[in-house]
Amino acid sequence: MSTVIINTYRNMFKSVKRNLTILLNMVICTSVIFILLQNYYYLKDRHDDYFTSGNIASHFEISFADEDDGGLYYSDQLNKTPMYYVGQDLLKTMESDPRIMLYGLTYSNFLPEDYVDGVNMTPYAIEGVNEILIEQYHFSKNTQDAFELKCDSGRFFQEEDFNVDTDDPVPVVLGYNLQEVFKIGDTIHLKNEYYDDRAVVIGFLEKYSSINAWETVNYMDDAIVVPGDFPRDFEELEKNKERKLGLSSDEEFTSITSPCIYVMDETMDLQKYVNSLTAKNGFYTLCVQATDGVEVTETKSISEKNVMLIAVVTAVTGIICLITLGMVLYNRALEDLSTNCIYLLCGIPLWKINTSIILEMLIWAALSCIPACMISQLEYKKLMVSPVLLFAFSAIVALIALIPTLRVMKKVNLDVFVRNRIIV
Amino acid sequence: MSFIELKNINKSFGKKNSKVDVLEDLNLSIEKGELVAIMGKSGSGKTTLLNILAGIDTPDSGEYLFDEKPMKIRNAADGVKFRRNNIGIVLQHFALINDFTVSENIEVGLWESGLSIVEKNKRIIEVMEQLQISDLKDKYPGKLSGGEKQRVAIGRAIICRPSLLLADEPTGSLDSSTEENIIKIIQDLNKTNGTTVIVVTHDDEVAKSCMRTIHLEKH
Repeated sequence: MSTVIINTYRNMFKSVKRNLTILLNMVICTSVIFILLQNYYYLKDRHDDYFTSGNIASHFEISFADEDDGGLYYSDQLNKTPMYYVGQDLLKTMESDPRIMLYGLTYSNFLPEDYVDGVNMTPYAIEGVNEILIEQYHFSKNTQDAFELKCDSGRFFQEEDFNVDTDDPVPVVLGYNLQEVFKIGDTIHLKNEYYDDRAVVIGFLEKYSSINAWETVNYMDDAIVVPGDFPRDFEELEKNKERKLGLSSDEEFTSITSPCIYVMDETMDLQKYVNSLTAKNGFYTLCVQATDGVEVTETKSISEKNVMLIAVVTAVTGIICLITLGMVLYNRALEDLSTNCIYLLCGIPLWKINTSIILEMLIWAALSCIPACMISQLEYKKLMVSPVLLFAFSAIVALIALIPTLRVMKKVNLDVFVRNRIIV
Repeated sequence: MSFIELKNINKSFGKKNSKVDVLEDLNLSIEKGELVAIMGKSGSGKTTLLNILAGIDTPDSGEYLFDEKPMKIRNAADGVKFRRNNIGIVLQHFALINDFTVSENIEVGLWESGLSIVEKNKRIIEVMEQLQISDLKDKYPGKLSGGEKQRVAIGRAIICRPSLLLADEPTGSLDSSTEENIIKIIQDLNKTNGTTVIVVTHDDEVAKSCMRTIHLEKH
């Protein structure tokens, strides 16, 4: 055994340059295999049995109305990651697509500004409760038209309402019943434990206005409608001076918020649609929940096209690495022939020499898994691909690359070596 | 009964038309503790004989008895096993591993010995003292003279205390003063350790220093 260990050690450390080449090739090979396997897993997993199953989802999903993750408002995993920007692109694309409508539903404590100053308590402060929990709808630019909502008085949102300066109050449209309390031009507070912002009333919905989606009718007579996302006082919004639907961020929280997606055309294949977006934006996982937050689509998290592309890249890179690795090992075997002849003359069996070479390659294979595992851990806080599987793949690569070397070793001719001539 | 006995050994190379008979009906006996020189012209089969004695090659026919036991080398692995337990080999071109130090080169001969690290180190020190190369133990072969290299090669060959030391032109690459030194070392090993030594050489001086000389004729 000691012979195998000593010779393995010698092989690993005698030539730094050559061994770095071996390791580099193995790392590249293992990494491309890792990327392929990871994306293959994404392809296999469906939204419902993957992203709602546990701790993985919060790390990289861009989800809409995923209740398991609290709407993703408070995810701290996406801050300025590539995923964040992919999410922005996705939302912009969806928002500008007439077939897709985004809207959100949250709740705010809602109270008139005058009440804050202790003046003119309103009838809406009932039974000693000074704040009213109210349904708060977030509308994108096409939502009002899509649901054919109209105002009883005042006006609905216009283009400029989606780009209000953070110093100005948010324009809001109130439900029909709230006309009893407010009038157009009133300033109110919208707040909960995370935000406190001012809003100005610009209109009131018609009586019995509702959102009719997924066979559920949501009446909005006591609701409030805000343009785009809310709250808006996060650092990112202050910087941009622009309200962005579905995106908000600050030092602690960076996430895609959770508007619902309503597909206008019932025949539209949302899965295909999302796959086309993921294909455009890269191979990140994008999951979409196209219902009211309970049911989920069978949305694939990655485009099949991308996996095919990655498979081709992996195959090409893998073959290049395999050839390079094989050549490095082959040349090393030729250089080491005299050493191996000396071993054989000293009574060291060939199988032990070969075992030490195989052991060395297995060690390189194991080491080559480390960068891929580290990337996985850093990016996803989880080993996306089993290290054992990864090691098995890289070990196979290493062993294939060893075939020419082992063939050379088999041909070692001691008679020729003793005569001080060419050995093979 | 002799320590080494070759009976009617035949060995040829090449195929039918280009077949060359190198050894033909060779009979040879060497006693234990002998220091024997094998001489002959180039192509007379000296190295072929050495290879057969070392288990590197096998005769086409005939019988090889080593320590009264018939040798049956069926494959390369049998030859390796035979050498590990019985043979030390010294070659003209030293055959040292360049990225190993002197002591590491010598230690290679003990890799398969099964000795503990302490015992190995003890034996390495003994051999280096015997060959007067203790001060070279951390040097690499590239920094050594021809004579020093050959002493290291001898050290590696005798470290496992073989019963037979085979030397193929051990002084072939050395100048005359170094040659004398190496011959003396081989003689000492033969006397002190009782090792049977077979030296293949074409040098008369080397042959004269041996107890007996066997001449091989070219066919």
